[in-house]
Amino acid sequence: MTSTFRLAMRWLHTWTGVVFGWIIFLIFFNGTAAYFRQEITTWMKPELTASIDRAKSVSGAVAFLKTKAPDAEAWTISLPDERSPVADVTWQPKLKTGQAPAREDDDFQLPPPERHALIDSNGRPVATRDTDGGDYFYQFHFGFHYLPGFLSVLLVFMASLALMVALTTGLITHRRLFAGFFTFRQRQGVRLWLNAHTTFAVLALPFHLMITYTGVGILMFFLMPWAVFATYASPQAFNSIVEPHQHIPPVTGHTASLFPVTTVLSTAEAIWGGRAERVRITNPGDASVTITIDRHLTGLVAGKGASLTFNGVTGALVHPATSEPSMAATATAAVFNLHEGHFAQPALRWLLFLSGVIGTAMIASGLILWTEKRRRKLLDPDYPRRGFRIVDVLNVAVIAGYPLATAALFWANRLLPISITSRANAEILCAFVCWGLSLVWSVVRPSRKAWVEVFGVAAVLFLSLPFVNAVTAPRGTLTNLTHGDALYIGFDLVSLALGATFAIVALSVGQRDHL
Amino acid sequence: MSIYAAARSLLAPGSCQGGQPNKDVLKSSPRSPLRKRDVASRVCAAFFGGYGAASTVSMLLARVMPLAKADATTVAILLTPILYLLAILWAFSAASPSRAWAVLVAITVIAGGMTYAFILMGGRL
Repeated sequence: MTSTFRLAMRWLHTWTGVVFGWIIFLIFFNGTAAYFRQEITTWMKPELTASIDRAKSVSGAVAFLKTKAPDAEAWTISLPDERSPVADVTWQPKLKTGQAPAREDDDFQLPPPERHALIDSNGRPVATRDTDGGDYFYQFHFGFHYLPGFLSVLLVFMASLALMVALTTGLITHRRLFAGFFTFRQRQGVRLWLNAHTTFAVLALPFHLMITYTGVGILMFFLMPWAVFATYASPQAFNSIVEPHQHIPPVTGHTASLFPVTTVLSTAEAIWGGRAERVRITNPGDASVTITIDRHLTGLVAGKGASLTFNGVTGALVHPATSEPSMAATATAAVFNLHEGHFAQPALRWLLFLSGVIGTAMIASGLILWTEKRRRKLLDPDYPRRGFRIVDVLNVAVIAGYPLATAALFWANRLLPISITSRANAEILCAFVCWGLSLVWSVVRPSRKAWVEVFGVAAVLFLSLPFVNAVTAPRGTLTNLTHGDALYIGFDLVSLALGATFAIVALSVGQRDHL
Repeated sequence: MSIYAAARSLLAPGSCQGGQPNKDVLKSSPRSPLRKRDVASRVCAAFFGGYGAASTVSMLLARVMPLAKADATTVAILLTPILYLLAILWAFSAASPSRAWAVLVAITVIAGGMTYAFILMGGRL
């Protein structure tokens, strides 16, 4: 490796980082939050109680669907678990002739609210406030909420390539990364930020590499699947091998009653020796009805395809578990599952979340490093100030402003009146208005003061969130502590920790005369 | 605009300087080892040239890897990020933008042509 090569790689690291850093920061921040997508949804719907009764929820869901959507094409019941205490029920209307079938199990599309219900542990549907919950973070991770689909996919594609390039070039330039990790460095100025940046990079390096590779890998299946066209005449031919399509028997027209779903559930779980995640019932009410049980992915990295199909009238196993998924299907499922962390049990999920936090901090410290390295050059009258100013302002607006907007989203969830129309959108609008205000604030205020103030507000919002929750929600902070409501206690602790971190950053920046 | 610049630099006599290291790289300040006017061309080479090269090489790999068709295709798709990454690094480490373009376009044409020939000979599933 010549020094020219290393210099070029260093240049590439700096500029991919500073051009795409803010987008990568947002992707990391939202992706990290999305590790707790279901927990956040549960927190944002405080009408849900903590009690879980799976059998009652499932029979209640079936009874609800029989009256609500008797002639649907399919019912889907996501079973309650410790992350979400209710059965999540959706249904698909029958297709009109000539209509293209919707892609099955399309995880990227959220179900429309008119075909969606939650069944609690008493077997009754619960009315909850209208909110996107944790789905907001999941969707923002690749969809950027207000941006049109094509534009956000292009942005995410370019940003994820940039992240891959930045990680690789970072490794190339910092050859002596591991030696440098243990070197004493001064705790101030540029050195501090360089130290922080490399520490965050090394600390969770395996995670950074895994999450970047699997993230780009997932995008490749959608944006660059050209290899399929080299071997198959149509993408459908390939997809049918990777994701074997469930055979749906034709509707007979004779009515029949449904076999007890809970019995089928326990049969399936006995066959696997593991938990079920979802029940799908196709052609309900007809003699051709089938019950398909999907296995819970906890503890399984490559678990896709683990489904069992039963005859919905007799309860007999139709589609046996013996058919092993192909290597291609297993590899594809592994890439998706590694990225989305479906396999992670609580301890591992917390570790993934922590790694995501470290990754977010790595990007933030890298962006700050860019300005701190160049701040002294501002004394040089020939140094271009406009570019510096843009980076400086956007750093405050994104690194401090977006966490502030997130806190505002949670506040809006608790404080907006329940009855207002399109409340879910109003919550998100509140967050974006606060984000916009922090952008304006970072433009009008001197940069160091803006850091202190925006981080200060974010700290106050997060530190007071448990108290807002205690006052406004039936699952308030005191009841949590006495009942050991782990999900709510976890949420309170994370928001206190975030608030404390932002407060410490704001105070320490405020004490010094530079960042 | 920059594609036009790249095409012009490709066509200009003596623009492909063989294996010589780019002297401008060594002369310029350590902060920006790449000449400013080359950067746009290299960025386009990385994004568009890299896309072409990574796509066609993955197609060729799907054809030639000694695996079942579905497995070879999946492995080829999963290798695409690595191929794209290598192409981008090449676009910024090549001695000149024209060299970066020349190699990426050559890879695209050769891999694409070979894949096309394989499809003509062996057909598709």
